[in-house]
Amino acid sequence: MTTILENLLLNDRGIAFDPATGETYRLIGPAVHLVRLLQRGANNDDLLRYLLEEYAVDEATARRDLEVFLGTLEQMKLWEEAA
Amino acid sequence: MSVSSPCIAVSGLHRGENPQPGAAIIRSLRRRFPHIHIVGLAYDVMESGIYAENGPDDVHLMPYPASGSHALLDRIDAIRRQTPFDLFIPTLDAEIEVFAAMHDDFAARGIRTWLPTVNVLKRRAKQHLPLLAKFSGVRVPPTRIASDVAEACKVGDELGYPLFVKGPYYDARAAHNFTQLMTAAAHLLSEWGQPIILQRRISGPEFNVLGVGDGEGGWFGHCCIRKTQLSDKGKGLSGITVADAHLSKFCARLVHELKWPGPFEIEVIREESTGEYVLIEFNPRFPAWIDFPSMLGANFAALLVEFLQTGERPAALPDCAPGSFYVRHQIEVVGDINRYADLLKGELPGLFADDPGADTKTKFPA
Repeated sequence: MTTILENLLLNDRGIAFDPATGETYRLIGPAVHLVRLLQRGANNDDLLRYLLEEYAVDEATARRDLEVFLGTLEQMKLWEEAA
Repeated sequence: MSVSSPCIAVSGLHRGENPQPGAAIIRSLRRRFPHIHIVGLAYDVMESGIYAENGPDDVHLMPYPASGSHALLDRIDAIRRQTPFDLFIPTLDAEIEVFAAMHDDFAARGIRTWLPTVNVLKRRAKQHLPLLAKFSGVRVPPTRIASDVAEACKVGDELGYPLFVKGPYYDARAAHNFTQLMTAAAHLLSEWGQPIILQRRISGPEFNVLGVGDGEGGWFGHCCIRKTQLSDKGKGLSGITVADAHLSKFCARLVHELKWPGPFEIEVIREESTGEYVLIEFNPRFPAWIDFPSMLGANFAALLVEFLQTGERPAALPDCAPGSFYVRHQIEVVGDINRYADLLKGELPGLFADDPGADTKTKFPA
């Protein structure tokens, strides 16, 4: 995984700041913790486990939501899934 | 700090929609040296910084830079007879062009300043940026110059749209088609004269980097920001500090190539499609946002004064941590009509000299 996600400065109120580009992002809901997990090197299974443990959601929905979330990060060039 | 109290002249006092750097420099200097004596050199009595709280202690009017070095020197000599300043921080592109040729005149009078030579100044002029970029190993947008409207239109067709048309010192206008280019070129030529510079527009976020070059290829410090809000003239209404080694290296190459002495501001765009930095301008002065880093502990104006005063290499300024931002804030300042009249009368002798009723005509009841 190559990512600039690791460099983001993230506060508890969901504001992420890229110190190199000056870009700011607003993260809402589980996104804050998911980004923190990714910054610590979590893989997709870890992320899925977190969603299932913390939110009343079935696995199919959690997988779909996670896919959308990671797709958004990729689209924003913040994160790239390992080949 | 060990600097004794110098008397410092600063120009470019106007703030407002398109602020000049002088008032912000004065604020920075006062932060570090609260009792320093500052002489404001103004080109117009309506320069707002004249009337700012904690602004200059004395203000004198100057003839416009286009009057030439003799007129400027005569005026400086006259001002120094009243207020003998020993350091000078010029801040306007047009005056720096003239002052850069006056090193010997300043030295002979004991006025210390930190300016490039004419040749170095010329190398970073807008029309010479492609060559500077080539020697520095950085990118610039495709750039051409033109000396009349017809030539501008021909060059515009070759460069392609959209593009920016710029005056040699100030002003830039976007042109998305032939008609807009004609209008912009005619306006800039009539306003600023030739040449005009045509630059292909690069899309992406804008970054500004300020610093003070040491004249030997390095710098005493620098501060990088990304502009986060732009005025309709493209001026940064707000900016946030960033720290990107690629951006710092990009600017270091330019400063190294020029062996730049003194204040600078480098304008850069990070091209959206490639992520590469592209040089837009190299300004030979502090920017209007100079007081922002001094509020973060990196006082570039004070550093410059310290260097001019002692001649010793100052300690490098601390890096500005990423994530601090400024927002430009405009306020009204109060002037007094008597002061206005005094400035006109006292500072431009001759204006009322032949007018025996000058006093009554220019004084208003308090």
